Amino acid sequence: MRDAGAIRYAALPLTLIVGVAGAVLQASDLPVTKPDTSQWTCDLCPFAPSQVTAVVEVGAAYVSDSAARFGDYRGLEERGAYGIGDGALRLSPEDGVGLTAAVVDAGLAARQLRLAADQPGHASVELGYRVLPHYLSDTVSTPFLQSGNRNELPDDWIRAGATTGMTRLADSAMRSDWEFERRTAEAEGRWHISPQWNASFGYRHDERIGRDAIGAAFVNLGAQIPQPVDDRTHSVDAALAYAGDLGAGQLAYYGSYFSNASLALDWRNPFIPVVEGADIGRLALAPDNSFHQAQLSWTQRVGRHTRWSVRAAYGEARQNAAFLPYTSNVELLGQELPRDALDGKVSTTYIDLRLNTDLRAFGELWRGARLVVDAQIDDRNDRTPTDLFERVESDSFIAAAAINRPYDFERRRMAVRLDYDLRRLLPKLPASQRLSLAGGWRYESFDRPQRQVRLSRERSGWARIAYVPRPWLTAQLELGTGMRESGGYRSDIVDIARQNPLLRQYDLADRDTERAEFKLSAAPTTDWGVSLTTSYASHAFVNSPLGLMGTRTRDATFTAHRSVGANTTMDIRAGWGRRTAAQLGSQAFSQPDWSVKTEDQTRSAGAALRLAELAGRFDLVLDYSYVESDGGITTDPGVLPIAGFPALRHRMDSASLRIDYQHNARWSIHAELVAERYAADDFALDAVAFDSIPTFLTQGARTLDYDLRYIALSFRYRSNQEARVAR
Amino acid sequence: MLRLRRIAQLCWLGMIAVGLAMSDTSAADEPTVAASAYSQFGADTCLTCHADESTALLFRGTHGQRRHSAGPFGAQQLQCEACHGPGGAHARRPAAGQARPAVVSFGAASATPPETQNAMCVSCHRSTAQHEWSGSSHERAAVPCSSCHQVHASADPVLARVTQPEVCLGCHARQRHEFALPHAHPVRQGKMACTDCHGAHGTTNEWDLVRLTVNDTCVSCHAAKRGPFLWEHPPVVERCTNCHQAHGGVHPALLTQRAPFLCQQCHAQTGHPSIARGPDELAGAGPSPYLLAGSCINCHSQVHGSNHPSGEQLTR
Repeated sequence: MRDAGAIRYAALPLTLIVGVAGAVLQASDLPVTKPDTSQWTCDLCPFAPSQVTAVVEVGAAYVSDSAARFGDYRGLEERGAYGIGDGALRLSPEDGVGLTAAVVDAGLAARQLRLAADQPGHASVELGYRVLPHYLSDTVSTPFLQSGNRNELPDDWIRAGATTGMTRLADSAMRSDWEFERRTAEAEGRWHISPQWNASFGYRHDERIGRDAIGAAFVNLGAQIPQPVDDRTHSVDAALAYAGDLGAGQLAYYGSYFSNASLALDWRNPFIPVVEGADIGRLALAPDNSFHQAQLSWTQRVGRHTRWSVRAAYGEARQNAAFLPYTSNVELLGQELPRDALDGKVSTTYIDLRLNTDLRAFGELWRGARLVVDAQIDDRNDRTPTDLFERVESDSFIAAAAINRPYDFERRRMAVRLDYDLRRLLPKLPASQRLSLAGGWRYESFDRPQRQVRLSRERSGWARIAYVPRPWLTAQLELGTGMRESGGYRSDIVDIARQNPLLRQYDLADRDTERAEFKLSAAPTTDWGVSLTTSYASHAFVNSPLGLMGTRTRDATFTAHRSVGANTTMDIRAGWGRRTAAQLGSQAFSQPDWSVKTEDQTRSAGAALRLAELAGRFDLVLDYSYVESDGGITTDPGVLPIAGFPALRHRMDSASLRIDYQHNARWSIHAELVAERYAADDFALDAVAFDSIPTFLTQGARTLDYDLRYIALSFRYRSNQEARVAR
Repeated sequence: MLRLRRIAQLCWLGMIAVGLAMSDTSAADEPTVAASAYSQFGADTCLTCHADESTALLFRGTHGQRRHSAGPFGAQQLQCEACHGPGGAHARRPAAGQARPAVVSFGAASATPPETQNAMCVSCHRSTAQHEWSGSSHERAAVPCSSCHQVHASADPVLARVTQPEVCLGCHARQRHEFALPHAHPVRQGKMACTDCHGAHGTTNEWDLVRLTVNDTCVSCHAAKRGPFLWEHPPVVERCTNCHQAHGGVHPALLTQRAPFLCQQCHAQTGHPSIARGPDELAGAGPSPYLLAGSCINCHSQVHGSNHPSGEQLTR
C-alpha cells in the first residue's frame, strides 16, 4: 500500500478554482438575434398524424446443421427449425407521450424485448431485456459429473497414473457443451429538467448462466473440468448535467456490484494421487466485488477560441469474499489463515485537464492553428492489507509462504497537439485546395512500486500531413516514433529471485516504436467512391536479452462504393494484415538458447449488391464475404534443427441472399438464404482426444468447422403505410 | 517523483494561464445574424420548393416533431432554418446572372465546411458539444455530424445497436476487418455496438472509451475479472490490452499471441524455465500439456488473478 501522504494533489483544487473563476469572469456568449416566428404556421409541413402503428412478422427458419460457431450469439446452434417472431407496436401522438413496444427474435435464444416511452425534449424512459447466448464448443465431453460447484467422477471410475490408463474414460464421457447465456435487463431514463439541466439514470442487471471449462491440476497432473457460470452484475449510472452560458458540467456516479453464486469449484482427481490426500482439489472462482465511482467534469469556453475542460473521478473497488482454506487435502489441513477474507480496497483517482485553443493571438500567421494540451493522471492505490500466507501448492505439498502484494500504479500523461493550416504559408495554393499539417508530442510515465521496473517513461512524437487537392480527394500521411525507457530492473522484488534476470517483460521493457499510416480516399461524385488505408508499426525491445525482441504489424484495407441510380448500390471491401513477432528464451535459465518467430496473416474480402424496388415490389440484397487467416510458428531450439509448427488456419466463406417482396401496403414477404462454411486447423485442438496427453485429461474440444445453409421465410404485416418507415 | 509532480502541476497552471491569456473575449469576428436574414414564413417558405421524399422523412423522425418543444419544429422554433441557417436570401429570386445564395447543407460532400455544419448541430446539442467534442478525434478530423447521423430519417441508424456498426465501419475499415476475424466481439452479429465501448463524441482517454480507462471499460461487462484479488497478475491490472486484442484476432480469447509463447514473453522462472516448445510435442508425437489444449492455462487457469490463499501461482 502506498504511503497515504505520498500523493498530494493539493495544488490541483487551487488550480481549478483559479481556472474556473478566471474563466467565468471572462465568459462571454454570442448575441442571438431571432426572427419573429409567430407567423411560421408550418401549414405545408407533413407532420406525422397521431397513430398507432403495429408491425408483426412471423415465419420459420431452418438451419441445416448443428454448429456452435454459426449459432454463437445468434441463437441458431442446433440443426432444425426455428420460429421467427418480431413485432413492434408504436403509439405516436402529435402531442404528448409516445410509446413503443418491440420484440426481436422471439423464437430464438438471442431474443430481445424493449419498452419505451418518450416525450422529446422532456423525458424518456426505456426498459429492455435481451439474451445473448455464447456457444463456446459443442464438441466436448467429459467424465466429470457436475453438480453445483462440485465435479465428481463415476463410481466405477478407474484411476491411473496417466490418461492412457483410464479405462473407463470412453464409456464415462458425456457431452458437456461449453455455453452460457448473458441475460441483461436494463432500464434507462432521461429527464430534461430545463434547457440547462438534464438528469439521466441507467440500471443494468447482467446474469450469466451456463457452463464453461477450466484447467485444474494437482502439480503436473491436470484436467479440463466443467465450470459453472452463474454470476450477476448490477450496474448503476446516474448523472446530473448542466449546459449553459458558463460552460457545461456533469456530476456522475457509476456503481457496479458483481456476485458469484459459487466461490469455489471442487473436482475429484481422475489420476492416482501422487501425494497422499490429493484426492479432491479446489479452485477459487471469481469473488464478489464492487466498484463505486464519482465523477465531476466541467468544460469551459473562454472567449471564442479557447476551451478548457477538467474531468476528475474517484473510485473505490472492494472485495471481501471469504477465503477458502489453504487446501482441501485432508492430510495437509491445519494451517490457520491470517484473516478470514481479503478486505481488498483499491481506490482510483483519475484527473484529466485539457486545453484547446486557437493560436491566433500570436498573429495572423497562426490564425486557424489549433493547440490541444492534455494532462492526465490515472492512479491506483491498493490499500488491501498484506499478510503472510502459508501456501499449499496444488493441494499437494506445502510451499514457501508468500506475502500478497497489493498492486499500485500511477500513470501520468501529457500530450500536446498542434494542427496548422499550411495555406497560411502557401498563399499561391488555390482556395479550393486544403493542405494541413498536424503534429504531436506525448509523454507518459508509469510508476509501479511493486513491479520489477518501478518507473518507465515513454516519449513519442508524430506528424501528419493531409492534402485535399479536390473536395472529393483526400490523401493523408502520418509518421510516428516513440521511445520507452525503463529505470532498470530492481532486485528488491520477490519475483526477481525466481525469474531469469535477463528477462525483460515486454510491457516494462525499453522499447522503440515506429509507425506510419497512409490514407487515400476519393469520392468524385455521390455515386461512387474508393478508399485505401495502409499502415505499419514496429516495436523493438532494444535492451531485452531475453523475452520479446520485437513485433511488426502491417495492414491494408480497401473499400469501394458504387451507386447506379437511386435503387442500386454496390460495395466492395478488402482487408489484409500481417503481424510478426520474435522472442528469445532460455531453457538453461541463463543466456538465450532458443528462439521463436511467429507470423499471423489475415485476409478478408466482401462484396454486397443492393437492388431496391425491382419491378416496384422487390428489394434484394446479395452479399458475399470471406475471411482467412494463417498463423505460422517456427522454433529454433538451438542445438536441434529449426522446427515449424503446422499452420494455424481459419477460413470462412459466407454468401447470403435477402429478398423482400412488397405484396401490398400492408403485407410483405421476407426470404433469406445463407450459405456459410467455416474450416480451421489448430494444432492445440486437432487430434487431441481426451487421453492424448498422458498427464492432462481434456474434454476433446475440436475446431468448430461447419458447412451449412440457413433458410428463412417470414410474413410481415403492417397496420398502415407509415409502418414501413417506422420499422 | 516529486519533481514530476511539480512539473505536472506547473503544466496545469500553465495551461490555465495560456488559455486565459490567449482567449479572445471579443466577438468582433463573429458574424452577427440579423432577424431579417431569415425567411418570411419559415418551413412553409422552404417546402414550397423542397417538398420531396427526403423532407417528408424529416417529419418521421425526432427533429420533425411538433411535440418536441425544444426541437426545430417545436413552438416558436426556427424550423428548417434551425439547422440550415437563415434562408431569407436563398428563398428570394436571385438577381439575373447571380447564383442563388446557399444555405447550410449537410454531408461529407457538402460545400458547407464541416465546422460550419457542426456548429449548427451544437447550437442545440450543447451538452454534447461542450463536454469533450471540442478536441476529440472526430472533431479534429473535421468529421461532419451528418457523416454519422441521419436527421431526415424516421430512425437514425447510428443510434441502434444492430445498424450502428455499419455506420462506423464505413470509415473504420481496419476495425471491420478485425471484427471479421475468427475470435471477435459480437459486433458482426449485431449484438454489440461500437458505442458500448467508445464515445464517438470524444472522451478524455486515448481511444475515446466510454469509461475512464481501458480496464474500466472492459470490466464494465467482464466484472468477474475486476478484483481486487489476493494474488494479482500485474499486467491484467494495468491494461487488458497487454494480452488481448480489443476488436478481434486470430487467437482464442482475442489474445495477441498464442500460449505458451505469449506467456513466455514475461515468464522464465527457475524450476519452470522457458522451454522451447516444438512440433514434436503435438498430438501424434509426444503430446504435451504445455502446448496443447489451453497450454499454460491448463494449470495456471486463474490468469486474471486468484483469491485462493494458496493461489499465488494462479493455479487455484
